[in-house]
Amino acid sequence: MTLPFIDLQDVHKAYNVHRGVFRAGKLLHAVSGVSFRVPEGSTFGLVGESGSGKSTIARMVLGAEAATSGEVRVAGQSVATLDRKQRFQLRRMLQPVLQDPYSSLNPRIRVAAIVDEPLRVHRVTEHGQSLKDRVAQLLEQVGLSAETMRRYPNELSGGQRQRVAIARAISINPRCLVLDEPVSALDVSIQAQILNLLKDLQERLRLTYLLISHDLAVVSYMSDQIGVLYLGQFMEIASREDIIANARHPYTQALMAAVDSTIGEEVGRVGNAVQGEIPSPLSPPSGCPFHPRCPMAEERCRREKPALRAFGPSHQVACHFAESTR
Amino acid sequence: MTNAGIPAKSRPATDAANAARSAAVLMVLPKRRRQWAQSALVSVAAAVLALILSAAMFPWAFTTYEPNAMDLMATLQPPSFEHLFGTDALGRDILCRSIYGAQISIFVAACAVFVAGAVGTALGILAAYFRGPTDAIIMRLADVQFSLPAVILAMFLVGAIGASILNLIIVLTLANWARFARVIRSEALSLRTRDFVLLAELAGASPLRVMVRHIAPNILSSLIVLATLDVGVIVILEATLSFLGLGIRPPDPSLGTLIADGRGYLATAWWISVLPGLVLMSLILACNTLGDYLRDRLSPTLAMKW
Repeated sequence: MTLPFIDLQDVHKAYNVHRGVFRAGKLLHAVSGVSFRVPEGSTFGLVGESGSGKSTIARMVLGAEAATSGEVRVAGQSVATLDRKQRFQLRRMLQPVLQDPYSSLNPRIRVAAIVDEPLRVHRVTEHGQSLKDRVAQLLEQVGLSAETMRRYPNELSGGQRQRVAIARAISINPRCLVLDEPVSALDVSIQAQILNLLKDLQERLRLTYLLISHDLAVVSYMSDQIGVLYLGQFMEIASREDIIANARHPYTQALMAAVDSTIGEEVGRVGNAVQGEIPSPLSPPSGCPFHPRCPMAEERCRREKPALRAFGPSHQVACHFAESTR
Repeated sequence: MTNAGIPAKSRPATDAANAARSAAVLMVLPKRRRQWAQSALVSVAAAVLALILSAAMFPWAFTTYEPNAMDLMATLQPPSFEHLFGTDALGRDILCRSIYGAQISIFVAACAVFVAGAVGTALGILAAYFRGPTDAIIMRLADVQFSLPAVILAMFLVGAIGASILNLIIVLTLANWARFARVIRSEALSLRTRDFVLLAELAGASPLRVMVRHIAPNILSSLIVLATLDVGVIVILEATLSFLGLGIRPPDPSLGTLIADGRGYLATAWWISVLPGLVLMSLILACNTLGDYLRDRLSPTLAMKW
């Protein structure tokens, strides 16, 4: 049994918004009661529409934001209680790759300085290797030529920029990468290359991934476990195989139906695409958060919020009718 | 900063804005003539500035007189080939004094812009990076500076610490840092939300490193524009203070004291005030024209703030 590298227990995050001089403000529940574990060396995929709270979870895991309640543990330590030194050490273990490769690279410094910044900050070089050699080695690991280090980001394409961002993230030998929509800003033809690079690096460097995407195809290609988020709550958590072949939540089924034919054949089921849009987290629906858009919704769904129930060793579904959805 | 990322795309719009702003008079011309006129204007401004700067740096190449050498046989001479700008009541050559005056004015203005720019930029970045109380204190200090007319502030300070070139530079800095702080703060605030700043922090970079390595370099082009535009403001302020007797002390010339010297002779010997005044005016016009041009070229986002 491998230990969970990332462990979230009933995590909530609420923002106080619309607060003015004469207004008390409203609570926006971005994440409400999320629990999951990511075993070391595996990939956990978080999938959901925009506004479902997936990026907020990433920011809390990275320590960029504090949870309102609940506990976020990384490598056995609670992120909220870390002191400065421990937080600094945590950053060595956990590195992010963000969505927009244009905003995530400083346009005024060269690729070499972008990639070696974490190395300089943490003062790590291996076996007397020079910084320059290490940067060259990293760039080659992500499929770029060593010559790239003399370039500025604006001389690179989106895919190349994302490779630079990955090289930077793995420079200090982290144990885990938080991948926040790592390919959604890229051309479809480039997406597969970057995903394969990430898979390859995971195998070679024994990395743990927390992958966040709105694209179920991406998530199911990469992940061992998948959590389907809707309005800050899990609708379904299951292994990749169960999500693909055995999805029980109507929302997951609708997402599967929307995925293109590459894995659509495996689904072998006619689903209805979800109608309408995700409700505002400022005024979430009563009962089951998905009921306004659910084709199977009944009176009970409006009143009673379904809890996550287990259907097998690693399969949980939050739906009153999970038994009869297949 | 958009200038590094999308120069090619923003250029047509910027050129149109350029032409429109530099001189409304030019709007009557058709578009192609307007663009030509605009670039001609910028070339003239650059030439004027180059001429004044080289005269200030190498005065011996432009005049054979001494700035404080009196010639009581040739007082109040109107402009002639011997004295291109004429002479004053003590027979001193006005062209020579204008050149040395410009030298002092430019030196003082350059120092003041440099110090005010450095202080204002540092405070603006600190305010934007730390937000909260740091931001509040720095920006309230800036409000105080803005609410006091620069001349009143300068009079008060010169009265308190006395008049000298060093004090003049201090006064001009105190009267000008806030405009840098304000604009740089707003630029830094938007940079602060960029992903590369978050990534640097998540890599464990210290606040100092983030500010110096990630925020400051992305502000540089705005700073150059602001500084160029500010030179004109500071030269005028310096001239005003010297005119009031709070800056450069006679007999040393500065453009402001030269204009002040001629006050009593405006009816009989106009050249004593008017010709140094023209030098001052061309210097400021040249700086502002170039500043506008640089702003449109380097930093289109600033155009909206100024």
